[in-house]
Amino acid sequence: MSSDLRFLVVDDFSTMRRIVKNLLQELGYPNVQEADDGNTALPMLKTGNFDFVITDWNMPQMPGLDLLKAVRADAALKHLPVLMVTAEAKREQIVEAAQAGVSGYVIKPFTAQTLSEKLNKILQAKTAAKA
Amino acid sequence: MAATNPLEPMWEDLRALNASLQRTLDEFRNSFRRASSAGKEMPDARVRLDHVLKLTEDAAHRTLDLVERSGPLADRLSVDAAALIDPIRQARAAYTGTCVAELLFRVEEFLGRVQQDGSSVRANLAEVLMAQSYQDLSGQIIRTVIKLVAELERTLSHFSELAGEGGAEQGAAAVAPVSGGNGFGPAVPGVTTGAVGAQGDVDDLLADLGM
Repeated sequence: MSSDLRFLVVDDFSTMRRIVKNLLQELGYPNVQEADDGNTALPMLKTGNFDFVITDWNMPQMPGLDLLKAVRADAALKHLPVLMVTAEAKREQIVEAAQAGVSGYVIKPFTAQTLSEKLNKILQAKTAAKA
Repeated sequence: MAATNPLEPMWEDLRALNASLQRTLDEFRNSFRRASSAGKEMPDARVRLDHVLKLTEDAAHRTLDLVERSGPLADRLSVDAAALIDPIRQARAAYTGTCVAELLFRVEEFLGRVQQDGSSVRANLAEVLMAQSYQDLSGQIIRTVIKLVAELERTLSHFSELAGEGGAEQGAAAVAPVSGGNGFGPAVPGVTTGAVGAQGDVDDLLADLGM
């Protein structure tokens, strides 16, 4: 079953972007674009009509947390689900991300099943909110 | 009669002290010189680490290329084999009791195995894909070390200036604080404190926060 949801995968490591993209395709989401940093992601989000963001935290220019804050501060983007997929594993960081309005948090290394579960949970919550 | 200078023992001590101070200063300068020569190796160290990053990145992409190419092949084997099982079974019924039926039975078994093995290969490829995330995690740790080496290099170069000028203006080299906002990178066992252990801990923590 293929979905037409549009995903943006933000990570400075091209290997990780490719892995997440492959996983999304396996899960039935073929519509995936990539950005290597928050700075490149934000303009794409503003013009690209995306439905879902999966972002790393630790990136050289604009880190994922700042991207998340920018999305939540933008009237047109603030409802966009943002799933953080990151190696950042300190408790205070997870709390910070939650306070900034993250939709889900997956720590690397992760399994395909974990990504799928978190994704579905967020999409279900979104559907429930709409209903 | 040579009168003994009562201050002579004190001068003696002062001379010894002066010699000792001189030796210490020389050693200090030599240490600085050694440190600055170690500092000259630092750019090399950074280049080497950059190279490790590049090598692992290339290897991971090469692996991903092959995974992406092999997945559809495994899928096709599995699907095509499955599609043939029923027709072969029907054909076998028409040849009951002959040696052709025996052969068709073996073909049918073989197709069943191809279908299953194709699915197993597909599942294994998915694991190979996930395993490439090592490149991101090791790469982040290597980048952190590259930053530290660069800071060490700056500090040592400052030391070497001090050694050259023989005690110029003091003051520690300004070392940029590591920004928590940009993230700390992957948790390294025995180094990182305050990190959660696994995805379950993240879920518990978020649940405590009402998510």
